[in-house]
Parts: sequence; structure tokens; C-alpha cells
Amino acid sequence: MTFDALVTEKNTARSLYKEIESVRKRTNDIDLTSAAIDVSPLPDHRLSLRNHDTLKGHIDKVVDIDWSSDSSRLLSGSQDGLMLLWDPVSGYKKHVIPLQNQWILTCAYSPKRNYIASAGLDNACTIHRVHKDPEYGESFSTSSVFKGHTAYISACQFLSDDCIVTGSGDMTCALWDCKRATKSRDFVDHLGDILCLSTNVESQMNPNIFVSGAADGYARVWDVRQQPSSQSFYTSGTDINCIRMFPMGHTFAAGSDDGVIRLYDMRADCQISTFSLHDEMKAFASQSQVYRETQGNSFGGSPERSSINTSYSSLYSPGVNSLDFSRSGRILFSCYADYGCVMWDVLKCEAVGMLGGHQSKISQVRSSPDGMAIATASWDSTIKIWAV
Amino acid sequence: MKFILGFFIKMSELDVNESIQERINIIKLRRIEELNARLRKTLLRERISASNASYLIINYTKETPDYLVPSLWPMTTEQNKYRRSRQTIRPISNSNDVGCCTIT
Repeated sequence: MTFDALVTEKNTARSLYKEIESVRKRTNDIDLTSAAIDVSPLPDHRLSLRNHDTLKGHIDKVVDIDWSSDSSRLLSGSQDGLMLLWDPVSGYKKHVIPLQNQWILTCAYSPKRNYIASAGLDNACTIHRVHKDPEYGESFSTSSVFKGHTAYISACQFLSDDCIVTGSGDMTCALWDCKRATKSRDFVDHLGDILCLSTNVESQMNPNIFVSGAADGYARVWDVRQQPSSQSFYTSGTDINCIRMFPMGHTFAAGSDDGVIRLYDMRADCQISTFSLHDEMKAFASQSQVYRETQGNSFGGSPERSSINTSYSSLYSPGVNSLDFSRSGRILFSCYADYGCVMWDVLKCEAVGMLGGHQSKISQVRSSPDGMAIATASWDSTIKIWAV
Repeated sequence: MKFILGFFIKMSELDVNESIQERINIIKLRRIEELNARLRKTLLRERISASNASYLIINYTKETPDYLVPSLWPMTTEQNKYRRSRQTIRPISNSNDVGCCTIT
């Protein structure tokens, strides 16, 4: 009796999957690049940013950075056991926050600058309260330590000033209340280590929604008011290393270990664009081949693009480490494991430049909320600020 | 007598195995019913076409000021705090001629 019901339900599930697939195919009528065919490309298909400053002070790998919402401070966490607060314009250090646990993996600044969070291999998320004194400036004290995850915490981000969401290697996300110092709820659905998450605090659109990416290859959209994940997208069989919400709040980009960045829209419920450095290099290699044949010049193409081409042969593991959008979402900054930070024109789906200069792997890239600067953190213990 | 007892023990073992199998099936059934409920919800989700989503994204990128793309959103030196700081606060540190002072 039960067995028969089981078989019927399995068949129903199969047909439902097929129906969903066909509905998704129907809505996926065009990709972003084809829709943006009338949009004029950037001049010379290039974008160049100036290295405004190199922030030196850490003595070990800088693993994560975060801008304050007013873009006046940059928070950096390093495996030397310190978090530093920088003035990104002058390049001066403003504060130092010593960590109880040196093996930090992620840090975050709350939207109203009342809290700073750090988390890592100690399976706990530490919340530091910011005390603002008009006479003596800011000071910091530990306000709570959230324990509950049974594995490392790979990502943490504030949903509002009092709520923080964490993603962990125990395959769950958790929502914590900073004021009450308790866990609000768990998010259980992933079948692999959660490696990244992204909230949408800056644009204030969909403030209850966040997305998470995991080692099972699924990106899931969560609403803090609903129990199961509201949407899920299968990317590829590889880990999703980084995920970032588009500034408008209905789209997100997921960067995988296979070196491909995929852009998904939640309203259309489908993938709308793909950015693959490998394909871009191949296309450029064939282009420059034609150029060489016609011009008889072995150094054809822009210097930016030819530098991409030459390192194509040495590209070993193309995994995407980190990504972020510029303020309007036109430019996508993406960092590759064996390569620097590449800038993509999102609408035209072409690489328009790169940010180089670091001595080691770039661990994070973050654009400032006011849209004026980019910060890249590296394992060479420095942070570089890029501006126009 | 021994043979009959053995037969009954065998039968009861089979019964136990069957009931465990039944219970597993019930759990499986519940799981798949939950999955189907979620799939039905996904199917009923309101979707816009990818073209409409793309046009909304394109319009957003056109309308939102983005100073990292100077060709579209140019900024004067007064507006650009980074360029201003390079010119006013730290002109010395950018110059190659000035180094540390040497005391002889």
C-alpha cells in the first residue's frame, strides 16, 4: 500500500520537475547581452582605475574586508590576529581590534556602524560593540560570542543593524540577534559546506532576503520570514566560492570553482548571463591571431588584453575567489585563484580591464557603497584602494 | 519440536524486517510528499520573462550614478575625494624625489 503510494508520488515529482523545467525555458527567452545589444560599450572596451593607495599594516594574509555604509571606513581582518579600521582616503589606520581567535575567515560592519562582527575557524561569531564618544572617538568591546555552529564559519553579513546571518561548514546558515544575544533561527537545506552568502542591506530593497552558495553547487535564496529556502539554482558540480547580490536586489552573481560566474535573476527564476574568463581568453586568442595575420604585428590588441592572453598558458586553477558589483552594477569585479582581479562589463559580457599589482593571491574585492572606490585585499598582507 | 520453534522464530524475524521496511517507506513517502508540495509552490511562482528582467537591469545601470565609469558619470576634482587627497594631503608621498632625512 505504502509502496504503491511511494511510486505514485515519485512519478508526480518527476513530472513536476519536467513542468518546472519547461516553464523556466519559456521565461528564459533572451540573455542579458542580447537584450543590451543597443547599449553602447565602454570607450575602447576598456576601463582603467588608478591605484590610489596601498594600505600596509597587517603582517599576515588579509582574508576579508568590508566598507562602512558611509564609505568613510574600511574594515580588514587578517590572520595575524588583528582587525584594522582604515581611513581609505588618507590611508591612515584609525583603530585596531585584537581578536581572541587568530584564524578569522570573515568580518562585517553593521549598516549603522554600531557593531563589527568577526568569525572563523573557532566555529563562533564574535560581535564587537562600537562605543561612540564625542570626546574620545570610537572604542570597541566584545558584546557577544555566538556559538552554535558545529563547523567553521565561512561568511557573516548583517541583515540589519541588530541581525547578523552566518554561513557555516556544518551546512547551515543561522540568524542571530545582537541585542538579545540569541540565535533567531536556522536555515537548513544545503547538502554541502556553505562557503559564501550575500545580503542586500546597501540598496534597502528586499532587506529580508539573502542568498547563500555551498559546496553542493546550489545557490539558495532565503527569506528570513519563511521556513524552507524560497528559491534554489543549480550552478555546476563545483563549489560556489563567492556570491554577490546585484545592487538592485533581484539578481545575484555566483562565482564557482570552475572559473565561471553565473548571473541569476530571482524574478525570472533563471540564469541570464555567464562570464567565463576561459572563453574570453579563447575568443581573444583567436581575435589576436586574425589581427596578427592581417597586421603582421605580434603585439596586437590593447596591452590590457594581451596581458590576459599571455597568462592564459599559465592559468592552472581558474576558480573565482571573490566578486562584487560597482554601484550601478555595470561593472563586475572578479578575483581568480591564479589570476588577478578582472573587471567585466556586465551588459556587454566582456572583460574590460584588470587590477594588478599584488604580490600574492587577491582574497577579496569590495566596492565602496558611494561608488567611488574599490578595495582589494591580498595574501601579500596589503590592501589596495583603486579610484578614478 | 525444535524444527517448528525455529520456523516460528524465522517468521517473526521476517515480520520485524517487514515492519521496518514499512516504516522506512512511510518516512520516504512523507519526504517526497513534502518535496512535491514545494515543487508545486515553485511551479505556481509568479515569473517575469528574462527579457523584462534584463531591461530592468539595463535601465538600473543607466540611471544609477557610477563614478568608477568616468565615461558615463564624470566627476570633478572637488567631487572626487580620492583625487583631491592625492593632490592636497599627500603630494609629498607621491613624489619620488623626497626620501627620509639623513643625519650626518
